[in-house]
Amino acid sequence: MRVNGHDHAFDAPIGRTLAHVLRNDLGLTGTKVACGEGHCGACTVQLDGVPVLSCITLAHMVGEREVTTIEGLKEHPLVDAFVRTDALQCGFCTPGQIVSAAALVAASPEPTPAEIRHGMAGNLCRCGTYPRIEEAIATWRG
Amino acid sequence: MARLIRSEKEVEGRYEEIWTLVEEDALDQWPAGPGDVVGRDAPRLDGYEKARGEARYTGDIRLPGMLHVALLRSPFARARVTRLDLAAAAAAPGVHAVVGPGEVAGVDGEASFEGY
Repeated sequence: MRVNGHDHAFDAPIGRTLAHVLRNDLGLTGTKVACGEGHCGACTVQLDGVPVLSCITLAHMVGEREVTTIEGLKEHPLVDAFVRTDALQCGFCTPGQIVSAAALVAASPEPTPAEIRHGMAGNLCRCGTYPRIEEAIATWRG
Repeated sequence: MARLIRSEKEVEGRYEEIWTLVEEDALDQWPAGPGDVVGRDAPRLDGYEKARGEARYTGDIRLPGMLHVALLRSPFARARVTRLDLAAAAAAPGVHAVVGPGEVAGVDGEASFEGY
């Protein structure tokens, strides 16, 4: 499996989720699992740039697609933007938020508020930092 | 000279105004301070750690020999447990222990929700 530009080989039974592989087999614990059933978006990663919910994506379905996790986006300007606007409290949803937001700004570098809300609709934040997440993405280039 | 101090108390959107009569002498003067801490924004110390996915949460910690617990809860909102057969659970692969009400100190098998 190709993750963040590196190839990894591992054994996994059919039915193991991508989130499990990333966190347990590859040690990439930046990807979080909160609900574990595809509601909350904390486990969001990109497959060839498209955000997917890794907790309900089976590892063997990934195939040749490139997986991008928060570990591959550490230098993304969105990280600075989230910290600058203080768009997090407990931070558990933040990696998933940034992975989704990175896909959004890649497709639309100057997203409108409506585009931000649509693009981020799959990421829940129990601390309720939505206004600041919106601000972070709207001002992501600093 | 006495002073009247007004405080405002808010509980879940309900505001209450409280007036307190204070003798002037009872009030110490607030000490002069640097004035660069209170009332100012402070950067979140662990903001970058969390945003980069480097912050370690409980679920990210793995210890040698660590076991995991799975809770089995009643599928019924209100019911009485008459019998527990834990044999099949204990025989499942990888299971180290099955803990029922009888094995936990201080739990007498009767569900109690006092304080909730």
